[in-house]
Amino acid sequence: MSDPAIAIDRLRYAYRPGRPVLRDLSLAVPAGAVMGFLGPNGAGKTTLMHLLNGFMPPDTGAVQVLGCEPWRERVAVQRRLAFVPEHPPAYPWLTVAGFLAFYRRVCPGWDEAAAQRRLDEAAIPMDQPCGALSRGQQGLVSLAVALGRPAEVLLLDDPTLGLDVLARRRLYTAVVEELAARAVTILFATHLPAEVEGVLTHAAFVAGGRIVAAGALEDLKGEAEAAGRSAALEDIALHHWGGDHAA
Amino acid sequence: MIQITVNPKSPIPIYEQIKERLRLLLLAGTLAPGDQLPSVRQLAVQLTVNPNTVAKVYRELEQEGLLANHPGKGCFAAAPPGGRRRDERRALIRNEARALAEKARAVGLSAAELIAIIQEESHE
Repeated sequence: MSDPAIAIDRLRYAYRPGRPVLRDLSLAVPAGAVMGFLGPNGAGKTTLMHLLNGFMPPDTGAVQVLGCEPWRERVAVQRRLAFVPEHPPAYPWLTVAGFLAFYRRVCPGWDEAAAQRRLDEAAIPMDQPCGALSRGQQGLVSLAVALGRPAEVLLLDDPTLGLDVLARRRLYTAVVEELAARAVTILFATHLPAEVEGVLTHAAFVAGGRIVAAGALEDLKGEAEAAGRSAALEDIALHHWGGDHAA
Repeated sequence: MIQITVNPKSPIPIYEQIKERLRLLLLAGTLAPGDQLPSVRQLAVQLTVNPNTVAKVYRELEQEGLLANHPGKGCFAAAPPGGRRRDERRALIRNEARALAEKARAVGLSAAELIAIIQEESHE
């Protein structure tokens, strides 16, 4: 088997001493997988995303993205990774066109046509400041920018939070089209398992700062069935989130 | 657009839902021999599922002889050799019947009662 695209080993992280958000978290995302990172609110999904981006170092344990440590080799990792944050975009006063111009300057291999196509499809006004757009439009701008980069790993941090059903559908469609066009490894944090089930190949359930179950979707479903439980992804999630594992 | 949906709340894997639905459309003749199916990308987008899943379904239906893939042109409903479809239609119903028989047993119905229900429903 080839090396995993993302490898996390006994990771621990606390914002405040003695109150770890992530404790002893281990996870491997195989190259080419689309893994759902499924956890209830406050499970530590965003914290893990930030550690994978190298925004801060882990307290203990190891994080590797494409064989590099994000904190120590931030530039190397950032070149190969695209991130759609929970609260997009960073500069509310920048126009959408200005946002694209920024990326054009800083990103090697930037594909302006790919980003522009997404924005056109969603009828995003280019001359508007990002801060004046609706929450759904802002999410689509973030995704468009992420898809304009030739990243091998795409991290999506609950990008559908607060989006209406049409905007969510647009976002999922964009992800499906990206998958049809090229090989990319995706870690998709979400609290809506049923909506993304069709797109996923793998799932990891997080509760209490730990991974309580992870694997290929068909294996997880097989286990649930063998145990006499519902094999619908949402029911599997409820089982793991509400189970004895929760801290 | 092809009439097919997936139910994410169902315990049946999405891959199987798509495969069974397509098989039904092909065996029932809704998709007649020579009809073109949507591309992998089109169907993946329509259903919001991973394109690899659709590709796998197409590959397996092709192996079963229900689809013919012409690289560069697309995927088409295949013309089956004579007589085979009836067998396959029976096999399709047999799977459902097995599940139904199990359910009937679980709720304490006899085989005769189950058959009577099926006959009533068939006459509608």
